[in-house]
Amino acid sequence: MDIITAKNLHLHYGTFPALKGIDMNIPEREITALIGPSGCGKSTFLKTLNRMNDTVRGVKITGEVKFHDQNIFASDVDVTLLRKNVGMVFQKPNPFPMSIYDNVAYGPKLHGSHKKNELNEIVERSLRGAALWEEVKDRLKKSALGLSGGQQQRLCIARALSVSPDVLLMDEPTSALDPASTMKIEELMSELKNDYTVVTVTHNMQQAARISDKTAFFLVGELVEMGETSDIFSMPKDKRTEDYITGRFG
Amino acid sequence: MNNRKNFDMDLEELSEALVRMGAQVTDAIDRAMRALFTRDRELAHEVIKGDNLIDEEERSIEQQCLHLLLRQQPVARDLRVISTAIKMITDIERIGDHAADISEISLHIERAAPPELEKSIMEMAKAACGMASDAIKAYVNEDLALAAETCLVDDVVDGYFVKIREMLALHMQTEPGQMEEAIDYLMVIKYLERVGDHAENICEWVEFYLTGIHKNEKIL
Repeated sequence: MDIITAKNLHLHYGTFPALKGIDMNIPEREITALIGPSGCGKSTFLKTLNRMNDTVRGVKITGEVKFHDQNIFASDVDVTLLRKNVGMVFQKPNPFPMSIYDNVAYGPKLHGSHKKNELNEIVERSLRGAALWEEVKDRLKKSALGLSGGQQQRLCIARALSVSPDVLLMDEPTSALDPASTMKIEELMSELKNDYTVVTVTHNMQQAARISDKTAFFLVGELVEMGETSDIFSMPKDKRTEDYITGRFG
Repeated sequence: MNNRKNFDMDLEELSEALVRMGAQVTDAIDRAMRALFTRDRELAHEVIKGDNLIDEEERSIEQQCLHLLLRQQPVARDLRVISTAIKMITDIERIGDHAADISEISLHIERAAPPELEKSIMEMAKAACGMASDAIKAYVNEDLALAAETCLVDDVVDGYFVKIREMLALHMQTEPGQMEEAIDYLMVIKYLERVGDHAENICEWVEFYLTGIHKNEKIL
């Protein structure tokens, strides 16, 4: 079943067309990898899925993105609620300059959870979900900035999980991490898909091949091809996809 | 020079090595047959000794492939071309083994074969050897049609096997004193029949390289 569907999605930054009529179905509880050379529109597309592009000056969007069958651009959509349901993890870990506990409790507090027991439970569940609990359970009150890069990124994932989203958007979540931390995040992503839908942007072809179920290849604002990851990396239908994944351009 | 250009050069080298190994084994079969029918013991020994070089070439190509897998982590066509090479060299190497096997046998054969038998065995060797060289050509030229045509020639090789086996059975009845030679020739044609099978295997891997399908099954 598809949790997100985009239809004829166009996005302009001023006069620049960044997305040109994207049609895409994102299946629930799978990992969808968005690949393509820099400037192809994959991150723009990702950010559109929880309306992170709304704040960009001069942006113009036409077409449709449905989340659970509701158009996310409809005037009655609560954008804060949308972003709670469709969370985001960025390229560089960006913990808040506060304690580990408060980083994770921040979102639930914002959405009305104030009881200490409830928050404790959410923090533990989220940190466990992000495979970080065992490493930080004895120093929850310490600053999040003291964690390693890989731990900080998992903390950001825990922070996203704390508000019980349906979808996690990840924009090159491991590009700033060492191989060991990358492997941990990849393992985590594979576990997360049991409960969440993950859409990730990656420049790492091997990563896309390793962890994703579906792969979508973008080029100059167009979706060239989307399919089962095993098909895209073995017998892509479009020559441009083959040329990109085999390193002939980009 | 960028990585892709280096990679392309490595793939080109791999292809050249396969052609070289293919030529080595077809030449080995050719010489093994010549040694067999001319009683040239020296040539037979050369073929047997030469098998080591074919084994070394196999090992070298295997290493090339594993290095490319490790360093380039290939996908799509690149992955298929390298995995096909790894599979192909096993069959090519076995053809080389059969050339050596035939030469081993030729060392025991004292008497000339009846002309009609010799002619048929030579024709069979030519068909089997042609299959092997066309199979390599199909790989190098990415020629799916040639691969398919070459597979069909295996029926011709098998046909020779049946026909010559019958000739040998008759020969054993009429010339019981030449039983041992007849058994040796039977083994030679069995090796030639296997050469055809290995060539067919190579063609099937060529099909996989070009389509992702191996023996009617999509395996990648």
